[in-house]
Amino acid sequence: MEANRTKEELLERGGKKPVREKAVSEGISITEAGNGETGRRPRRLADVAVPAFDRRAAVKAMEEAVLSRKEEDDSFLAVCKRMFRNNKVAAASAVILVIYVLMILFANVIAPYDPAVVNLMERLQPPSMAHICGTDELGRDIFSRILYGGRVSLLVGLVPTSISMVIGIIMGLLSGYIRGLDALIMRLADIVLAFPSIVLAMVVMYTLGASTFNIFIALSIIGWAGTARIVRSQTLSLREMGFVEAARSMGVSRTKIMARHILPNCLPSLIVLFTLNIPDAILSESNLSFLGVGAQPPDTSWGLMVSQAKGFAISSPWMMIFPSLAILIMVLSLNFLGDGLRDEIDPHLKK
Amino acid sequence: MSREILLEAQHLIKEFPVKSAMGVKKKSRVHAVSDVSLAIYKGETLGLVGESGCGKSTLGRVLIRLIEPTSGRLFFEGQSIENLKEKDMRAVRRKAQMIFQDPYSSLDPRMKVRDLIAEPLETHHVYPSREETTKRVQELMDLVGIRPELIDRYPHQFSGGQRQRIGIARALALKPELIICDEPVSALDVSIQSQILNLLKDLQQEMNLTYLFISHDLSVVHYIADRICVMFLGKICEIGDTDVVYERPLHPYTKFLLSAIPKTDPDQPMESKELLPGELPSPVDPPAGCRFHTRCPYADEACRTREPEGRMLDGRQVFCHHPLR
Amino acid sequence: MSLLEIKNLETSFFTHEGVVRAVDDVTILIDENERVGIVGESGCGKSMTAMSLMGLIKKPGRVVSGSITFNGKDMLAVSQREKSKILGNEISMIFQEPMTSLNPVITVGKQVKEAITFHQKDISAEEAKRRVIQLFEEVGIPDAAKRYSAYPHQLSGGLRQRVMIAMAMACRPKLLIADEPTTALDVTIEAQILQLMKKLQDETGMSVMMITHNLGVVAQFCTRMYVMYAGRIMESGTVSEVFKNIAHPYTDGLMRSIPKLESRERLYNIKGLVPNMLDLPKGCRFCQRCEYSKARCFEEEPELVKIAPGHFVRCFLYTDCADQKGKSACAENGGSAASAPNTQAEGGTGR
Repeated sequence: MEANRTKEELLERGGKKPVREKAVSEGISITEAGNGETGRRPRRLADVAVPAFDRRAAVKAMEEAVLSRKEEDDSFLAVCKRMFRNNKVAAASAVILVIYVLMILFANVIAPYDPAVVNLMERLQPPSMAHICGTDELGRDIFSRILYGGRVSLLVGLVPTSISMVIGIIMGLLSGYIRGLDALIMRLADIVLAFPSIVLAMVVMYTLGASTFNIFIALSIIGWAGTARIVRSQTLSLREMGFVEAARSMGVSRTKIMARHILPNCLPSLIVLFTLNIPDAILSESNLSFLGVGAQPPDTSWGLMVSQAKGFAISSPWMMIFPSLAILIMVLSLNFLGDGLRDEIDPHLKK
Repeated sequence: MSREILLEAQHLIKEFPVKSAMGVKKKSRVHAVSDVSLAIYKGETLGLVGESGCGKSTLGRVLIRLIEPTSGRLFFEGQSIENLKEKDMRAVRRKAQMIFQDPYSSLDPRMKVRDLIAEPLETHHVYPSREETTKRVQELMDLVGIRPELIDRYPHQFSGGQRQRIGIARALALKPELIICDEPVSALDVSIQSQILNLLKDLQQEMNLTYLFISHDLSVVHYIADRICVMFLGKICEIGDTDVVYERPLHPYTKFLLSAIPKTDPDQPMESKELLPGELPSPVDPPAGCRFHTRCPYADEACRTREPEGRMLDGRQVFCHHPLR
Repeated sequence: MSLLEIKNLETSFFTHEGVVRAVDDVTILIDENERVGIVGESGCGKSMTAMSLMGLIKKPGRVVSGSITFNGKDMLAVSQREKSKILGNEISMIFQEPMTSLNPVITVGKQVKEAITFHQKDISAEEAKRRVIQLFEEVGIPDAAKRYSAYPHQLSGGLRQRVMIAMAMACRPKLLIADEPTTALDVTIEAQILQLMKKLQDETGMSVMMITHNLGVVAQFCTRMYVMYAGRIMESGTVSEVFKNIAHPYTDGLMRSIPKLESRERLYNIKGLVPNMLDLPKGCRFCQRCEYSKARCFEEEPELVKIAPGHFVRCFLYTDCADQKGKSACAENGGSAASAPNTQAEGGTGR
């Protein structure tokens, strides 16, 4: 009986050949040949006729549900939003950093005292309502000095780090991707790295003279080599990847391959590197200040404040604790934020 | 044969220096491609088969100078290209595209489908405006069977088969003459593999493409190729029309390759099969004479000492002293 | 009783996007002296089944329900100590990529020797070494005595796989699990390895569980087979029966997707993609891609039913017929949720 039915059905449908169609299914479509359906078929399945049922509609409805669910935005704002949702530590760090920057920018409004005014009557006061972070050996308000000193420290953290990273990225890309330049650039980097960085910076500072601007130059010169090495090693492994070869096969120029393919794929580690380099620069600046070639009084910086406090570390510990805390919180926040951003940006880690 | 030759290689050689552990160049070399001459005709699919390490992928890349040949001559549409500067090669690159084996690594994970497929178009400044480029990208996506709505997705949001379709769309973007397919279906599941194979066949008909189809899978090559070239250790064993070669292989290596394929028929037990003994010799120090002689059951003194010349037999070229009859 | 009984196994992964049931209600029986193939495409759960048996499922995955009995012992309940006695001794495993399962800094001979001495404490060093060399000869490694002191990277892929087989055979296991053992190898070497495994199986009478995506390997090597799709068993039976009378549309589609040397007819395409394990269809898991699917397939899931001696299928094309045996026709029966037939019930043959 079953056989009879299917035979009838086959007669009914057999004549109809599937139309050549571009069936959109599951996000892909398959181009079917005119009579691709009438191939060899095992006995049992051959006895079964294709049932009359709008399968495509049912399939499509299921797909729509899946597709609508997976839409994902990848703009920078969306990445930040996702990070805020998924990573509370990074979100808190971002908030702290924003507060930091605002406080430092509006130091002249927030600061209760002039950071440079000496008041010997109030020297070495512990924290109190009048001076929430206490005063230093010349009676200057430490909280106000932290706010103003932050301007120098933040600049020293951001500007030379940015400059040195740009130099380092370019050098690293060239060195890793263009074989002929590799030896030259890497020996140059070796020279920079062979000197103790502080000595090199001092040489630069003595030659150029002590000023905030010259600190930028000095720190940029010593900072690029480390970045260059990291970018180079990443470039060396990325250049062997399939997509670089694919780009080459299409005739994409070397510059474009470096800019569009290699650099963006180095980004996750560069973000982390950036957040690590900023505190490095802040600390280097404090070293230079300590040696007398950094920020010049009455200007101050966090590094300078910490180094000036070292004679009073036991008797008046607040002098050291508060500027140190300022550095510590900033460094930690930057690190957490960098990690959080990297995790959200990196498509390999997402899943 | 009066067909037009699209790409021709004459006495192509590619050797890689072997680096020792210390990075110092030693004198020994990997003989990846040794004195290969072949021609690809317009509109055909030439299948290039061989086991891993036989140099088939290297040959595919050397043919379009993605890897520079050590020596030999290359002609694309009659023009000698082996000495062209990279700037002049761009015109050739536009006409000869490539599809890669690994659909996971051959797409930049940081680029959206939109930019991935637009990259060749932008590189060769095909369209003056961004809108036209995007329109073409959507056309291409539709052509290879990916919903154009998915244009802003990243590759990791697609499965292997879909990624391979993106790779194909990229290769088609510039309307090339020749596409070199380097194991395009080896990394895919069976059901996806047949989708891609049919897609490649349809596209070839629609756009009058020429394929060089590199694969280790003889059944796949049999399905898609008009002519087949069997390679062993950097040398061609046999080259000729697919049907002729598969029906009656003349080179012993071809015969053993064919018989080794596991058939989807439980009534053909494999115990009865005659298997090729041994392993692939090292390409650093290939055997003298015929490179296949260490594994060949028919080898004699001539095979051990003299390299076989190519000769025409039954309408195909065979490199063997004792071709099977 | 069978040597290995996996019953209603469910292994799930609890990801933050949802629960992935990698293995869902899988029942596999393996008798002594049997070669059983588990076929399916990537992600179908075939490897996860073996991993569950070996106790290798890592977080966030775990075996949720079901039982695994080997040789009368409940593998999910035995102590860690007992398990380590069974694994490598009575059950051993070979993997797809032998390079990653061999320690690169220890000679292959020593590694195989360790496998022997771990389970047989009383064996002397010379005796063990003699056994290793004998094993190497058995698995067809030329110059066995010389290869004893070779490191893994000095061997070719085929020889490494032979070493792995020697290691697996070291303790004369009752069950050998082979997870895609020939996928990474060339065809000529694949044929050698399959022939070797068949010879060893014949000689020792062990059982082999062959996990593969290659229907050719199953046809040539196995006596019984299970076809898996999206975590479920879709069809099972003896190899000769299944290959002669393919019943499930998925198995049929797979078979017709394989290019064959005999014909160059256009290949059949199974439409669409394997469903995302997080978004499994409500009904039959194959319904979206199946050319025979009807409304019922999208609503409820069929059970495995027996359609011939030793041949089971999970498809409504057969259950409906079995269900309504003796009634007028096996017509499409849309939404009616008729009581599903019992698993493995003796029913009509669906012809």
